[in-house]
Amino acid sequence: MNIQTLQVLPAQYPGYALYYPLSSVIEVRNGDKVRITVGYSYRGPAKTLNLYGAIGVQAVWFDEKVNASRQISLPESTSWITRSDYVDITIDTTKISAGSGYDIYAKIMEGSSDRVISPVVYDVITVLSAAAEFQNFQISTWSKV
Amino acid sequence: MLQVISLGSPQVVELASGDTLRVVIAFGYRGPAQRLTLYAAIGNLGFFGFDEIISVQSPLDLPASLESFTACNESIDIPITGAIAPGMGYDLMSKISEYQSQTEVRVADVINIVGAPSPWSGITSVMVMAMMMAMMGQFMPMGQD
Repeated sequence: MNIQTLQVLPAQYPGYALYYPLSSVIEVRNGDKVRITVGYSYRGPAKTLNLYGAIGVQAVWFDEKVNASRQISLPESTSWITRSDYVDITIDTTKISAGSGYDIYAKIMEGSSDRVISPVVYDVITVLSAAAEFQNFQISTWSKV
Repeated sequence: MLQVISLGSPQVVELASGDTLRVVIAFGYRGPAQRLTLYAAIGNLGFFGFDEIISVQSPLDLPASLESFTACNESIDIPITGAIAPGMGYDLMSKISEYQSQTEVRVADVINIVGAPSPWSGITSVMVMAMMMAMMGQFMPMGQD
């Protein structure tokens, strides 16, 4: 299972999707959705599983900031079939702070068990701050001119 | 938020009517490009807040800085007028009007206003003295015939 494409569904322009090459960095704002499309092969009985995606920081473990999941229905197949599915993750800046270098991964779950996990794609998401923020606001000097 | 403060005595500036005080404000900004209002005032910090005597404001154009904080240094000039009486220990206040709660800062006892006292204050003192003497004259006999 691999992450194939990333798209941004901007909150400001409903109905539009921005496509990005996987190697590029995606800039998102609060309310935007990141669509992760994964490709995988399946063989087995018909099943309903969950496709799960997360944005966060890969350290010793993956520190998830925002995530989402979506049900996918797999048909019965005795031979390997290639499929692709997507999951949309909403950017919520109360959970993921403005900054760069966020990583992503996806997995397919059956109940609470992980069935297959994608490799982590590093440094692909930058979260932009939409609200004005001030830091160390101070009167530094005052003098007669 | 970590604030670094100076433990030394703040610089006191002596001003007279007709002078101009230049106030420099330093801060970090993160957010979209926008025009806000930089505001500064001289007055007295009291129990009920900051009692402004002279205030000024000017447009402040902030750059787009969506990912990280950008250091900003802005200045604003306050012309000293006859509206402020000679005296010591006036206070200084500055803020961005649209983000008052995030930005309002004050520096106490840093402005002295020098200059001749108002002629009205002298006249008032003379009048008070004259009234007191007149009252005393009514109760105290000035001489025996």
